[in-house]
Amino acid sequence: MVSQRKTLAIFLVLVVFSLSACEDFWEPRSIVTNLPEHQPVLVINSFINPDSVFEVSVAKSRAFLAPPEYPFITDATVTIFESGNRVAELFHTSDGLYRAINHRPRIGATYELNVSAENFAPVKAMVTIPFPVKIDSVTVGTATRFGTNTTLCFQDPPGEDNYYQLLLFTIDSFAEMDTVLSITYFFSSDAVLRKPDDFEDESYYEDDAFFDDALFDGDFYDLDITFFDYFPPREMFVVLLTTSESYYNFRKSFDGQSATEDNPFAEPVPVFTNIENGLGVFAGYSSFISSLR
Amino acid sequence: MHRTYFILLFGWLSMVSVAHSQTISGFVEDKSSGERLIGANVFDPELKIGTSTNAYGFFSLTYKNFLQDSISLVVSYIGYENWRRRLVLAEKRHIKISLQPTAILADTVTIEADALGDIAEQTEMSVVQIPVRQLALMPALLGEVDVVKSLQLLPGVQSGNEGSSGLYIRGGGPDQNLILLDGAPVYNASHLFGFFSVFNSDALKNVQLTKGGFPPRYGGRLASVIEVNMKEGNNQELKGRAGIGLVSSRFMLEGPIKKGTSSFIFTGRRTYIDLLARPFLPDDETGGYFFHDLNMKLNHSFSATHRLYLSVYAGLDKFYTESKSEFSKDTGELNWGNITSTVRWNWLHNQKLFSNTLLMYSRYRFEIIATDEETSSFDSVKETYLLKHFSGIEDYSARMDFDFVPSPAHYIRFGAGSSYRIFNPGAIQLKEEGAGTSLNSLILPNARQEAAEFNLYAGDDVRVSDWFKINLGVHSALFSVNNKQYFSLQPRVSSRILVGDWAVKSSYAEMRQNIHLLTNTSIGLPTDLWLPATARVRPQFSRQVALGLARSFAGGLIDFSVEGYYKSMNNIIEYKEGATFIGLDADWQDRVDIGNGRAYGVEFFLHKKSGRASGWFGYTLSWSDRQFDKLNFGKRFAYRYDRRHDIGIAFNYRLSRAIDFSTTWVYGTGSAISLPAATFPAEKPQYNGAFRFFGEASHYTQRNGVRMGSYHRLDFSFRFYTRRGIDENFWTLGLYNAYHRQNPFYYFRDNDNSGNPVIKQVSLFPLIPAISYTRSF
Repeated sequence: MVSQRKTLAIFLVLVVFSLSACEDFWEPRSIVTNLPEHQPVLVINSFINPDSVFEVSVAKSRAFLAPPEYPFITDATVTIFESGNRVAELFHTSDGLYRAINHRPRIGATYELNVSAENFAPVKAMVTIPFPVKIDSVTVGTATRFGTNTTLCFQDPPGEDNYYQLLLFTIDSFAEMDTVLSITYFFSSDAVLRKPDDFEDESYYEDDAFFDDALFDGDFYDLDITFFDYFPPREMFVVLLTTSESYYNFRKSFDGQSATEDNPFAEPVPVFTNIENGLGVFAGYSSFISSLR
Repeated sequence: MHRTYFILLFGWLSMVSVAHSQTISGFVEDKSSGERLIGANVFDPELKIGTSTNAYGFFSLTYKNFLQDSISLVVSYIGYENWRRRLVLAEKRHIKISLQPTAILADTVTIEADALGDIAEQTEMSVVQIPVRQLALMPALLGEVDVVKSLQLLPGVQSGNEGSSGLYIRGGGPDQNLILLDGAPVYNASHLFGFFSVFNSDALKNVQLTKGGFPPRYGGRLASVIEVNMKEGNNQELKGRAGIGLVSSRFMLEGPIKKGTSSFIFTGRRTYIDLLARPFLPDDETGGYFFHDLNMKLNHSFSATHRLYLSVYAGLDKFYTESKSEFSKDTGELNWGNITSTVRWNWLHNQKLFSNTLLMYSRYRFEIIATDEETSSFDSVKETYLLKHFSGIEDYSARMDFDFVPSPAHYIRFGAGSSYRIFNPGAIQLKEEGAGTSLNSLILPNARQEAAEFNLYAGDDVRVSDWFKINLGVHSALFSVNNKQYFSLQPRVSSRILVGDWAVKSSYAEMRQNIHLLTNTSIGLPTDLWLPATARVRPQFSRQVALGLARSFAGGLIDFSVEGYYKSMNNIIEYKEGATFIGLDADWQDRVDIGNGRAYGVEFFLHKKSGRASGWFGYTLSWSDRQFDKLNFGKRFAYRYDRRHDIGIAFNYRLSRAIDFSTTWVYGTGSAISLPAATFPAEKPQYNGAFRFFGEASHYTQRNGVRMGSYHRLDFSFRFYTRRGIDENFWTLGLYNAYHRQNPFYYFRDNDNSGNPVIKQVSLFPLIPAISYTRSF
């Protein structure tokens, strides 16, 4: 028979012995794991619009655990085609940004982008510049301590999937400087703009909001937003972008990935790409601007 | 068509009705407490026929063409002395059999040597029944004995994350387990993010897990049915037990209301970290977390043939904070919990027909309450603000189950049931009162939904010959939600063929699950939402085939089984990539993807049920994957808890009259997780000369394509008895993670000292000692 005292003594020795090794237990420690293999590919970030010349950023991906390095490709060949015809050859400016000398995209046209660089598989992608959607009216309410309610009315083109982005800008004028344009925040409790995971009855947008026309395809829509005036009030305007589907998917998925990347228990979100043999996005948009103040 | 059914029915009835037969029936109970015993073995060693007691301790044994005037009967049950009598049939046809608990130091009495033992006798397969007194000996996290976590040590049953009480059974998710507490489904069976289950072991009598080969009476979930039975309460004398541990205290009181005919049991448990922490919090702030469980059960025997049970469970988890200053007061609360209550009426119609009628209510509710009260220092006007979010499910059910035992060749079970469920996917109440404003609005982004379900089932366990038994049956369900009906006929077949002492078992079962659980995380969160199948998100459906070998050794003391299974699952749901957990979207159906899954594997199980040394060894070799058109580019991917190897060992040993030793060891292949293959720069447009935005995006090539390190852990505990017997007093000293293994909890990317990116692992539970004291009175 085993005595209680002896068993207890053995137990306590084990506890003390093990607890002495406890200090660093919660310190995250590096581990070796077999990650999926990755051969670097070209990464395109391009958001073409009729208000600017063609502009394409070219970079490269790196394996998840590869040491950080300068990501931009400065010696790529970047060409834009329209219906099989070369429209523009882009030239490197700085930090992987390639720009056409004077060619601008046309509304409604479809462009193909070809990019090649040494040691990388060439990539290509296509995009169509959507037509802008006019804001028919802007109704600005009275400013209260809960903000200024504003309704933007526009008509969605019927029978097609449309994707939108909404931004608010203020213009700050300083005596000693040029005017500075800054994106400003707003709120919305509109069904189209409310974020699904918000507890509050309205959602906050720090810079821009994305939405599609699933709830109002082909209709006139009154979109309600609330903004806060600066004091003293400054000039403000609202920009309604119509974007390509690729742009909408890219931003939605990138924002989704950013929102969940710190949660080790959430399934990660892959970022959308429309670049064949590469990563990133070749997107297009056109814009309509309306004054608020 | 109908005529064919009638012919079949009459043919079957004429087959099962037996002339010149004698029937002995009765109840088996614990002599000291009057508790009815579930699954006790009733066996005639001379004629080699036997049966076992049902969930209410009832058995019926019919002798066909029987001319003798007496029979020999042996009744055995783990932890009890064998009961052996010669009975004169004419005298006593309905009897109450009281079994004496085994003396502490006696090595176990074995089941009658001629008996095959449960495992080889039963047609059912993939069923494990473990008495709570064996589970309660297992070492536990922080000393909190948890029967659900002990089930994780069984083959085919896997744990999720470290410490979690979630059960992943044969490749299915925790949402696919039907957990019944005295017949009432428990919709969220975990406390504190899954670290503890809602079951207080003091209140429990028996746990039975069915993971395949489902008999016809079960339905509603794909992966398993876990039946948890509460104790009935001692009907002989008043008894109590109190325990104090590191995390919680427990209390149990049971006794007769009228000796021998009615009894009660009441148990309570509460954690008290919040109370201990309170003195250390600042004066103007309080806050903390606790959970409590209350179980109550009453039962009354109106006669030898009628008995009524009332069971109630109420549990609550609560996080709370309060901070106040001279002019303001903020409070926040997160509350969630289950309430279940059942009324059950046992009626022994005659010796061959037993029925149970059940009325049941179950509710799970989660709520967030935030209040803010501010008094203006200027004009003393008070403004209050309240935000309340609540979600949950309510279930009202009724059912009748019959056990009809017309002859030793047939054990027929049939019944019907209906349930009415109310789903509250989430509502927000906003209330504001104060200087000139008054607001009280209720926002219901997802409308409350109601669904009705009706079930009918029938099955017969047929002993075709001594070596061949087959259980044939069907479970039907009609589910109705929003004018949409789903009807299903789910065939269930299992068979047993004896080859020498070995039983070769096979089964086929179809299961349908009409409700879905929305959960985005792998940890059991109180925000997990139950929702009904809809026209778009159809009911889940599975088919499972299993084939196995089983045998008892040492006169039924040791069971061995090996089972292979293949299961397909259809219409299972996952949150879309990036969708998060709180269900306030315009339509939850837009936030889920629908796909299929499959699971297959082999399980080995060796179980010594009692004795000075007892325990089990379980090993599972398994595969589980998923295929969703919209996930992982439509390609199959490993399920997060796809576990190639899984080992569970449990061992109890009586060191001396005063000391029990218990240890468990688990091993599991690491979870399948998603880690990026690469990163790349992601930019945003430069609107009108705004700065160029640079972000970093991750590129995933394969969902769940990376394996975490394996998980293994040794726990042990000692019980030091200061008094032993029916009224036991003992100290429990335990060690969780005894060799201090840094098991992976999650991985993340970080940089090492030289700035190079590395994957780092976070571990959750180090070696944790635990101590508790339990006293009976």
